Amino acid sequence: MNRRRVVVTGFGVVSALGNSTDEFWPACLEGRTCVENVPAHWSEYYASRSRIWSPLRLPDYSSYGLKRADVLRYDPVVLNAIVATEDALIHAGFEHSVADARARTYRIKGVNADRVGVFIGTGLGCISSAFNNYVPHLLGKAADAIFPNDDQPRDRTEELQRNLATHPRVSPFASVQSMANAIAAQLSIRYGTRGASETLVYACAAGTVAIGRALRAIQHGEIDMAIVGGSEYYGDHAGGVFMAFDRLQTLAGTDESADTANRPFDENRSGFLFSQGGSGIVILESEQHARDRGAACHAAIRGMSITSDANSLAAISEENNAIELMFKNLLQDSGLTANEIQYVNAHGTSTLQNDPIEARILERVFPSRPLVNSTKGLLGHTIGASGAIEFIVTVLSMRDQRVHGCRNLERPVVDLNYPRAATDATIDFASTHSFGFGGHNAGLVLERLAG
Amino acid sequence: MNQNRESIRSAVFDCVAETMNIPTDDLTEDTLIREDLEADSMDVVTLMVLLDDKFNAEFNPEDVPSENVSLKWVVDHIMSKLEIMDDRP
Repeated sequence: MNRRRVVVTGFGVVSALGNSTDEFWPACLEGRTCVENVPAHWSEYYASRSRIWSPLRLPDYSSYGLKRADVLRYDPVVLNAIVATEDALIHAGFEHSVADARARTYRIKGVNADRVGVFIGTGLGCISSAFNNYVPHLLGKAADAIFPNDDQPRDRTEELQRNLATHPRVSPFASVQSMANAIAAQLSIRYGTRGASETLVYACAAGTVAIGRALRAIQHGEIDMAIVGGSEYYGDHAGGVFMAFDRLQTLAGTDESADTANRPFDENRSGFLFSQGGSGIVILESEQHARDRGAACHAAIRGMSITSDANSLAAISEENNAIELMFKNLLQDSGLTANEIQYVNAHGTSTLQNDPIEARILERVFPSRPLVNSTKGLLGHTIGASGAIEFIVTVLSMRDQRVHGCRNLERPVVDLNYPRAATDATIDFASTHSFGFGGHNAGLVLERLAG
Repeated sequence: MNQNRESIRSAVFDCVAETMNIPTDDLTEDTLIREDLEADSMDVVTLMVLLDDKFNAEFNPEDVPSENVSLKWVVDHIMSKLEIMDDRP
């Protein structure tokens, strides 16, 4: 089947290392990170094993035309995706005009909206809204039971709610605020796109899968352009999502300093750095569509592959070769050999289980020793956003012919070609991949384009 | 305690203007939400959420009549809600 070539024309990032690509990418090259102790009050709810996280400073929504009504209606995971999309559209050279001022919808100039799709990956979707709306629901009904001898249970309940920093009442928007497809749906509504708007729930592989699915839709001619990426955000006041990952013993920082606990592929790693979230959005177009409007093309996507471990909800698997199958299919789909890949942006979580398995597989699949780094070593793990953010890092690495270093890596579990600091490199072909809870393995191969 | 009616009126106009994305200059107390502003059910819910956030009191979309709801009605509704709250034991 004749497949159309697909190119990257724009991207935008919301991250702990900056809420624009101009802030984010230099920070990556400088090897910066953003690690803090978890909020002190979390210990009132749960004595966690890990004590560190990477908090996300939310963007100034008002500077993107988002109003108080938007903040009250949508989860930050949606708002952050809108911010990243705004930046991505501008980067891709699009202008948009107001379609309906009252509905706050826009029209992307010069595109046929019937031929534009939205593909968004997420792990836990709008979980903060689900948590925060459940608190007043639970406490409102249970007030008498919680304070059996209290003559003013309502006041005591409200005090408890204030401590939990949630709104005192369930929002009438709770259902639409909490659904995982709200991110893709809201982007489609906002920009009036009428092709499919899809939500890819693939845990830590979601962003990569979303890009892969959009690639196929454009390759096969279903659509000409797509708003694509991943978004994740955990805004529950009491650290419930953090606790969930901590209880699974997947998080970093048991007895190390905050600055060095996150160390993908190092012998002394202890787990992943919990990120509060982020968003990465990419504009993909058929090459013809992009060339016709004179857009700069930053990279082409050569191929994608998705496989399943069929093994465990939480554990990565080496035994049944599903990851190697993913790489084999990926290279075949890309029409390339492993030796042609010069840079691999790895999954590299820094968990005890992932890193040695991933490193051994990379050693077998890529014997020509391409450069390998982990963006999670800087940002921590942004779960459903990570694949999209790492895809953007891969595009930027090819554009600038420069890769970021592997922060805190001293004694590698396997001797791969890890840059310890930012390094100039010739990269014509690069690969980025993700593994998700549930046994989801996904990879993408990119080709450098001159513009 | 009665909050100054003028300040409530001003806040209501701001919330309606934000919900409908129109200038407050276009609004009077006689303006009808559905008939004049063409607010649909989601607009009414949004307005209630904004008022809830503004006045920290519960406003239910189901309390809003299905027709001829003027901004005067909204201001009076908030006044009565706030008085009810103040009357609590």
